Amino acid sequence: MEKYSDRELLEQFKSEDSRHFAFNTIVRKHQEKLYWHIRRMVLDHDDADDILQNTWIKTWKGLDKFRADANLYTWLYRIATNETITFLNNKKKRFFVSIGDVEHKLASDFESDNTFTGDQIQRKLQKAVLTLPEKQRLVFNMKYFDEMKYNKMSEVLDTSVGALKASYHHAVKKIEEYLKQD
Amino acid sequence: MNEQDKISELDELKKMAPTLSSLKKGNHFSVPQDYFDEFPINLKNRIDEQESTSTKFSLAWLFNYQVLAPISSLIVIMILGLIYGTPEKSVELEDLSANEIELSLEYYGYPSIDDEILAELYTEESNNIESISKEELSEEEIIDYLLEENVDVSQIYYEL
Repeated sequence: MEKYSDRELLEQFKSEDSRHFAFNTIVRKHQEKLYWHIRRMVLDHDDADDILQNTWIKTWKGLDKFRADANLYTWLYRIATNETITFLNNKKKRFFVSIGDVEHKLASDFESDNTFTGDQIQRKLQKAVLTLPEKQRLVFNMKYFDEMKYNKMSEVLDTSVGALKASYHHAVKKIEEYLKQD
Repeated sequence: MNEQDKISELDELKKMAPTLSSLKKGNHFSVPQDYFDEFPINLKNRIDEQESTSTKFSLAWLFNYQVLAPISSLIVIMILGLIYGTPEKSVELEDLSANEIELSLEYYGYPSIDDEILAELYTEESNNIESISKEELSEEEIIDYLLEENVDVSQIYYEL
């Protein structure tokens, strides 16, 4: 799977004979990182699975138009992020609540989530992350957990590096405050 | 991210958030067994399903009453237009000369032509002959013509 570069796979995708093989290989190569990026935002596995499938369906439909000189992974990340934000906004509309209340609901659902295997402090960290505004939460997850560079984040989120740094610093301070509370 | 960048970022985090930086990073969520092995298969099934649904939808769209009714009406109008919309180029009897009428009668036989129209045409043609005879023919030419055609002069006299 890893023996093919993204560029080679994109070339193979152009040919009708190898299109399905190339797409399947791209999915297998990038699915885990995208899944965890989504899962950290929505926490629930079923929701993350739905969003991941939608992300790949959009990718399947749009891969023809994708420019080979651009970074495939950044593009996939961008689609996954947009799908996740759309999901959270729809959830907000469905329950007639503000986005802050959606995060409150996510936190209460997370309390009873038995797929989380971390200890108390790790659970507290997740709850702390849920107190952040949506965009700050994205920035924190991408920097802290995914260890993504600011310039890559800038491409994905269409935000300047300076703004991302400021956002991350604010997020870290808030989380530190939350963790210090008893 | 290279190691140097990582170390400097960790140092910064330690200064800014000592509690957070002391936590062991790791993934503490779990996924169902074989999820990542089965995901590409499930995804392919969903894409195939969507594509077949979209094909069915496009065919169903054709057979939808709301689409079918205007399309069939349009086709009927077009057919009627083709049949009745382009009139055949008709030749009016009045436009034909007596010779042309005679030729066509000889060629096509004698269909039912309105006697009045025919009589009118002959009258017009006769008037033309009359006008020609008045202006262009001398008395001698007329007598020669009558002798040649063996016309009964008494009959003409009677007719007049």
